[in-house]
Amino acid sequence: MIQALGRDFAIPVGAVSAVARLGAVTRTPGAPDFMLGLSNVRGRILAVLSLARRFDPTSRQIEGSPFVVIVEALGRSAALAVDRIFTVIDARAEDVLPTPVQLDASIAQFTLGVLRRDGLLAPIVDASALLDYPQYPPGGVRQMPDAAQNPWRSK
Amino acid sequence: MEELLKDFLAETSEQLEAIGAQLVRFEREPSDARILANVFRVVHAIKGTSGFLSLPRLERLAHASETLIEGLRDEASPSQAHVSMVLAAMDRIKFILGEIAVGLGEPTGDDGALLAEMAAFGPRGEIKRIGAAPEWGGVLAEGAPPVERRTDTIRISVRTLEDMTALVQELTLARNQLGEAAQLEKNPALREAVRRLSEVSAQLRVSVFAARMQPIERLFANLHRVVRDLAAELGRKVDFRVEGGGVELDRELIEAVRDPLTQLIRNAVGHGIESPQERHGAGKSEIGTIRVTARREAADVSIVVSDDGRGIDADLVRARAVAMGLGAPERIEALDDHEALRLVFLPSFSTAHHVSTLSGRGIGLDIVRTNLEAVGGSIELESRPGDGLDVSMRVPLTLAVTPALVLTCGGERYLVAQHHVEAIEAVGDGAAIEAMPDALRWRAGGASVPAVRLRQVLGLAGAPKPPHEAALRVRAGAHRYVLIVDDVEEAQETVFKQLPAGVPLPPYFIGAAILNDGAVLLALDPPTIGELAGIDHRVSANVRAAPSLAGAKRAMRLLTFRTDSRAWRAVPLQAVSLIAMARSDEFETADGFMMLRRPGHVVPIVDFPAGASRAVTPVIVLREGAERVGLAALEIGDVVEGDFELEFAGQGQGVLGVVNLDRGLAEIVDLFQVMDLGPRRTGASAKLNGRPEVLLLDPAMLARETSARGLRAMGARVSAFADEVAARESMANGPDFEAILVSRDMLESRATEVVRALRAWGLRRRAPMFVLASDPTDAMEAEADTMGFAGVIDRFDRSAIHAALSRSDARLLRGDAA
Repeated sequence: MIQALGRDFAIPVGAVSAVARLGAVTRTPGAPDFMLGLSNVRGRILAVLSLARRFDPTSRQIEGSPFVVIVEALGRSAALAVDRIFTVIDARAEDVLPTPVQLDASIAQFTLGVLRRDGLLAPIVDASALLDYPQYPPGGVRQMPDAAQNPWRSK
Repeated sequence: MEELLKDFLAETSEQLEAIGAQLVRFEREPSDARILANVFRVVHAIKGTSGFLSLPRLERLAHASETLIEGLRDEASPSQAHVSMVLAAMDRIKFILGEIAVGLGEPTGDDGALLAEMAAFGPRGEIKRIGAAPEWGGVLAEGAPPVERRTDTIRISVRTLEDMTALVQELTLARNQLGEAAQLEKNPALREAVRRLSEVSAQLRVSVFAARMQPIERLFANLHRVVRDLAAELGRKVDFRVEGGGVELDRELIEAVRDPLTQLIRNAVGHGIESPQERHGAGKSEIGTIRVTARREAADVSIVVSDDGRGIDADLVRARAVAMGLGAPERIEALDDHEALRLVFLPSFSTAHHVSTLSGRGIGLDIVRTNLEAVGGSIELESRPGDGLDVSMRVPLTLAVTPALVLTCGGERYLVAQHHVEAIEAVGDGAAIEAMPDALRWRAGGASVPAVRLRQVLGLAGAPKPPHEAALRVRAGAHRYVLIVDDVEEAQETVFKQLPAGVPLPPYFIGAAILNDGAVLLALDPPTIGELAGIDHRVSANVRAAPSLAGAKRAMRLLTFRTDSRAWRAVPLQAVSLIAMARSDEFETADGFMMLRRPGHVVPIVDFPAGASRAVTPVIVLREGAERVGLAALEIGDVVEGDFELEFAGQGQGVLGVVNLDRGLAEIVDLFQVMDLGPRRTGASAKLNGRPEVLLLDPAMLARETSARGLRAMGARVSAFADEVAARESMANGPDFEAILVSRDMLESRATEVVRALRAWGLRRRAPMFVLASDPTDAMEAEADTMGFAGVIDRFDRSAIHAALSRSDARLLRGDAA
């Protein structure tokens, strides 16, 4: 169970390989807004992604937790920066419901369903959707990149 | 996933690869029955285990494959179609295994069509069961999982190995930290413990890295299949051999080399080996040979792909590069064959290459190079046109360290592999950045090369600039340029790693590395940066780069600028030393002159636009020999090129005349008069003895006018013409010339004609001839000498002209004219 953007979310344990303390983050110019940078996590170089910004690219909220959730899917790994990390819980099958239509589209695209807990609904995050971002624009870049042309920069 | 299933998947996928290679070999040598026995055994085991693990689709396919293989055995000469069928079945099995491995379970699907095709090949009648036929040998246990044959090795999951590697590296970092802290403590017991820890962690590191080594053979297994299929598709005959499969390499590096190697093989089959008819016509055997040789060489492993095909013709590469506009034609022509071959690694070269399905699939050569360099490797080409090509890939034995430079830009640190950097220079000290409107250039020691600001590439133009910048002379493929950064911090040996899978970063980052202090730094790729910045020598090829006198252009280049809002002015670019962007505090007054303070010296300013008290003033620094004079401007315009005609001759006041540019009229600055406005330190205005008659030949009107004026100011009597033809007509009864000055521009491919003409007039006998050029070099001097010239003079340096003419005076007086 984690928290981002001020609300609760859930991540299936199967997608999580570890939770680790986040050290220095190296900024990566030219990368998408939701990528905070690269960091050395237990000797591996991982991309650090902001869960909040993955949902909402304009969010400028700073993540509160000093820890990151390392997720793996589609043969990729990344470290997710979030606001808070709660404990692992066992969810009963009947607590898992399909994604309601009222859920914000920007979040719904990354959701497998919702978990009902203590009267609240927490969207269950789909790690493979989170990590499914395209590489840098194919076909190469033929001129000097500048802010206006960088497709990853939010307008 | 269950252990058993995991083991099964791992073992089987390896074996399937090996089978593919064996089947291809079997096709060539059908007499070798052991190959088929091998293949059968593997397929039989797959059938058994898939039954055991409840994988019905696999089981059915494996069963049908068994039948197929038996059919192969029975045939006297197995057809290519039959073998292809078996390979197709293997592919289907591989596909299903792949789906299972990703955790998706056995995919629902129908193999009916494939099974029907396969059945058409099977032997009719009773299927012979195994065990009865003695040549198959051995009793195969049905339904049991495959038995591990090798007992002194163990299978370990890749994940576990990766974790171990990462932990060992973390351990090293932690040990370093502890070591540093222990140094400060005076506790001997602590120091001893740290020492022991260091020893152990070093040994552990060695062991873990040794565990990662694997024979390179696994790279080769698939290649046989690739060659066979592609050769069949294209109608080529290829003999494919591998050597050195036992050489061991770190597994991460094996993976890094896999795609590049496959692409090179595809290129060899598709582009290298000719069709049988073509080969026959060329007197070669109809069967082409492709050989892959792996060899361990000191700390590297070299993998060479050789073929005896058509090779790469350097001339064709040059022609294509020119046609695609990859650079200035003269620059490309000047590349030697070895450097020209490297052009094929340029991204634009690859993408516009053949648009056949062959190269459409797979990766281009530029990505091959990038992938190799990202792990500290390299690639070289050696071509024997008509005879074949050798492509040598080199990778470090383990994740060896790459010496790198740590540099800063915009407050962040980045890495660059040292093998790209030729030199590090500081801005200032006689070196400077020239801000041409269409490009940046770096001028140092009289030469000028393209320059790129790293800030601009990274999009950090807004960050505060440091007082002094540093410049790296970079060599990237066939290009050279200067990369301007904030500072160069230190050199470190690091392990370059490819960026983690799927990380969406721009292509000018080639990888990343963890420094000794644990920080992650991005590594820059100079070749891509050069490509992005358009470094292609379209911007004024340096005169020094052309080794011979021939090849210089007739057109003149002018730098336009404005000192007031009224009119444009222009000055020959060749006379411009640099453009300094001066702040108001860099000006001072001395000796009645406004001076610009530069590192180590001051430059007198002879023209200052009125009311110009802005933050930054561009100053055009003109040079004449060792002298410098500055023109402060309001605005710097474009560099224009053309064969300009002077419209009206000027009447002094530093103006040579006016030329017609697209934007309107521009005043041409009389260079020498402007230089004379400054406080001169040398006697550049010295007069010549007597009043010598000088013949001046220069097709560019502006240059001719400037030189003529300068000579006249020295007291010479100048007859100036565009070329020897124009001169002839007026010189029918010409005076006896004491010196002849010929512009270098005239001598492009016409040197012999000019010299012959002059000689024919009888002029040569009496008067020494000199070449007028900008930035004279020793090479030019040597060439001029062979043509019979007495020397090469800097056309904008009057003291040099004076000296040359005075020498000729003396020579005449002494009477030893040749």
